[in-house]
Amino acid sequence: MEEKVESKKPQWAMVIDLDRCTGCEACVVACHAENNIRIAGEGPAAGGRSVNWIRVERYYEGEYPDIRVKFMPVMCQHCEEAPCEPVCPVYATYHTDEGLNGQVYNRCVGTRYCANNCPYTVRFFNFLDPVWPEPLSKSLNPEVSVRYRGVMEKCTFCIQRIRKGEDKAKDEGREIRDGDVNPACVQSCTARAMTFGNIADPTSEVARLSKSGRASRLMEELGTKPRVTYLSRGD
Amino acid sequence: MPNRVHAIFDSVPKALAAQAELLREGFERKAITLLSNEPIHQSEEAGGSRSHIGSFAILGGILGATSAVLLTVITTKRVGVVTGGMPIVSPWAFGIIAFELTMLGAILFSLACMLYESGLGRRGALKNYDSSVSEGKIVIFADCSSDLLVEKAERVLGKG
Amino acid sequence: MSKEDVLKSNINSDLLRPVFKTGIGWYITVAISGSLLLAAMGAFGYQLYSGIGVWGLNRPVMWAFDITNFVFWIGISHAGTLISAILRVTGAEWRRPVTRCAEAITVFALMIGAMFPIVHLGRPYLFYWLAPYPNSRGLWPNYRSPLLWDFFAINTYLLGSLIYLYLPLIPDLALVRDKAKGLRHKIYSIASLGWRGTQVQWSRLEKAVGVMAVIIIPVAVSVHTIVSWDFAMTIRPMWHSTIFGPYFVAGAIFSGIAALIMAMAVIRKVFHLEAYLKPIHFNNLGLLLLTMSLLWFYFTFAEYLTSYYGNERVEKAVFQSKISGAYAPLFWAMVVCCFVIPMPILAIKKLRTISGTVAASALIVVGMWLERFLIIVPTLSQPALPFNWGSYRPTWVEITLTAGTFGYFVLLYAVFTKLFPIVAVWEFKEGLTLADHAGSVAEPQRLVAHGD
Repeated sequence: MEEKVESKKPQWAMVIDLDRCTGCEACVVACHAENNIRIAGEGPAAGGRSVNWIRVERYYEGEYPDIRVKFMPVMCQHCEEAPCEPVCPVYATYHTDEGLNGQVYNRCVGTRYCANNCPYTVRFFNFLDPVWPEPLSKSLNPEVSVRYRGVMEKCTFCIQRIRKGEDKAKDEGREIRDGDVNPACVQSCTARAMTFGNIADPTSEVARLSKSGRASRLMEELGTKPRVTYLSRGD
Repeated sequence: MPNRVHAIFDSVPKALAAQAELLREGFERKAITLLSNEPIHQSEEAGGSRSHIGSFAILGGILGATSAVLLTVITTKRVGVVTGGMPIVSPWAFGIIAFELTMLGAILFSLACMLYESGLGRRGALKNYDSSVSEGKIVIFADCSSDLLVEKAERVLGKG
Repeated sequence: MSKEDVLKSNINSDLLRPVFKTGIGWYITVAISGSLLLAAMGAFGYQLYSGIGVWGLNRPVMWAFDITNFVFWIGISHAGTLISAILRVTGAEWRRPVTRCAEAITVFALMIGAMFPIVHLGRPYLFYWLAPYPNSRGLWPNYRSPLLWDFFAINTYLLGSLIYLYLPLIPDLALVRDKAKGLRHKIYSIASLGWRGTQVQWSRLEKAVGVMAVIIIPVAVSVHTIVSWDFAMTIRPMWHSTIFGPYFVAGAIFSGIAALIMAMAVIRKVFHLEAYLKPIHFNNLGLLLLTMSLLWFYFTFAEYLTSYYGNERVEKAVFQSKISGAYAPLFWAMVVCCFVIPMPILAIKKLRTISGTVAASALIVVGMWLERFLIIVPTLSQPALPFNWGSYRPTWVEITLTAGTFGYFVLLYAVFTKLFPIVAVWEFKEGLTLADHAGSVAEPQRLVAHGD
């Protein structure tokens, strides 16, 4: 048996404090703007064609008037043992040595098998060519590739920002540290519910938070070892 | 120069009787060919040489399995990409490919062996043929190495 | 002159008649099935031009009609090779007029089924990226993916069943060669590889067909098992099941026999082969179909009972949607089509006639298509996180493609019957000869045995 890839590289992870999340969806908007995510339109969106790399799931507990709403931002969990990866016949999705669940658009032939094997339903398929209404078409992020029809896409943990942060740290001749990299969702979170960083560095904020007594991972029982940790009082 | 004598029979028993008589007259089994449009299981001719189709199927299977193992292991190591936390060489998954290529090898080798042994697909494979076979007749060809045998064959096969 | 002898002298003319004479019905069949195929090709062209978004797929239902058709046609393909191989290996004499008919179904159904993994791709023109060959991308395929297993299994099966169809066809090709003139003679001369009918050729042919029959059985089983593993390898509710392999293989043979019975009934009627495809064949296949119907019910019950009893939240949601939810009408229609109506028809001897078995088969084919749809869509539309639940509705493109597969199948089959004798001439003659021998040889032996 082969050994796991032993890497000195940073291991990216996220912690989301559900007790802080207000469900404002600023992260969703920020993600759309940052990652050139297509606009589906009202009808197609209702038919399941909308693309949201991050979404805020709403769950209601109890009956009116004694009702509680829970919010849970869900994006690709970047599982260490991701079910989506081995089913891809062409290595379009694979595991990077930074623990990211990578998606190579150019390799993808569009079997959609990965999406079917994702228990978190966070993979999105480009069924048609993307169209942006004016003036959104003029605000595309040049650092992110636009995905055309026939390929799968999903949250990348803002890989373009990760690269930029790593380059900066390298230029300054130091290890990566908290604050070097912040994905668009983390940056825009008004409640500061989201934290991003290198979990391999025991002094980092994510490493500290992920050991919290409130920590759990989504559908942990599946053994996918997600890199996203949720904090919740668990009431 | 070998001479070839041939005759057409209406029924299998008559053809078999002629074949038996030729054998008694000193013909070799290989020198007599019976053509028919359905297999004649009582004929001596087929038993003359052993078929290697079974052995070739096994050989093809072994080669198929070997090439499957080499293909999967070498190329996956060359790519060297981790997916789903699975080992680079995943015997459980590769075993399925190995099974299919084992079968593919067996299929192709037994086909090739069959075509070779039955002399099909060769230039001039249809020399020495008589299309009355398709009418249900039995045709016998006798290869004669000497004039004496030609005489005997012509007598047995009822041609003068 | 016994009845068998009369038959024997007619065999050539009876069985070769469809090859040499073409009726108006044949042209009508080809026209109708051909236009269905053309419509499907148009729909596929439109899909290529616009993107797969013209299908009703969405998130979370990423597979639907496409993979349903894939599994369905691969299932139908188990008619032939598997059934014919099992009957050959076990030496079932009644198989003789049935085998070719069945083997042809296999090859055509497989050709159609194998199209869908290509048709359903987001970028269909890149399907060859699944093949292992040195390429400019510097990549080899990922052998861990069940789709790669599919690729190898289906190609092996397609090649194997083509050869398995072709080998016993060679003597009949030679027969047509001898009867035909002109260009046709030349084509059949090439196709029959210079077959003369020497006893060495016969013995090698029978040996090779025997070996191929033994090889093709595990291949056929592996193909549908691997198709089922496309689902079972995932961690989706009601997909991740250990019985999926045998469940799918049983279902495949089930629908395969049904397709075979229907094809045989049509051929019998159209080409007037009443003397060759007799009620006994429909009776025997009907009994096989009955067995498979019971087996199918057993597997389905076992599968659903485990889901029900396990009472896991995620599985329960899918289970409920099938039993009493949005998919309930389709689910119960499936149970009725696959078991409730066919089982009594096939079990009661009086009803196990030609028309009875054909009626049961037609229902079973519909029921098995529904079964595949119900395995795929309810699971996909209800993922583990209920926030993402969705639904699915096919568009005209998918419906046209599906109709086109049936047109394509009929077209291929019609063309096949025109080019080749649909009942194996030499195998049938051999069977008559063997029966003659059994009649004249077995009798005295039995007397001797009694004398002891």
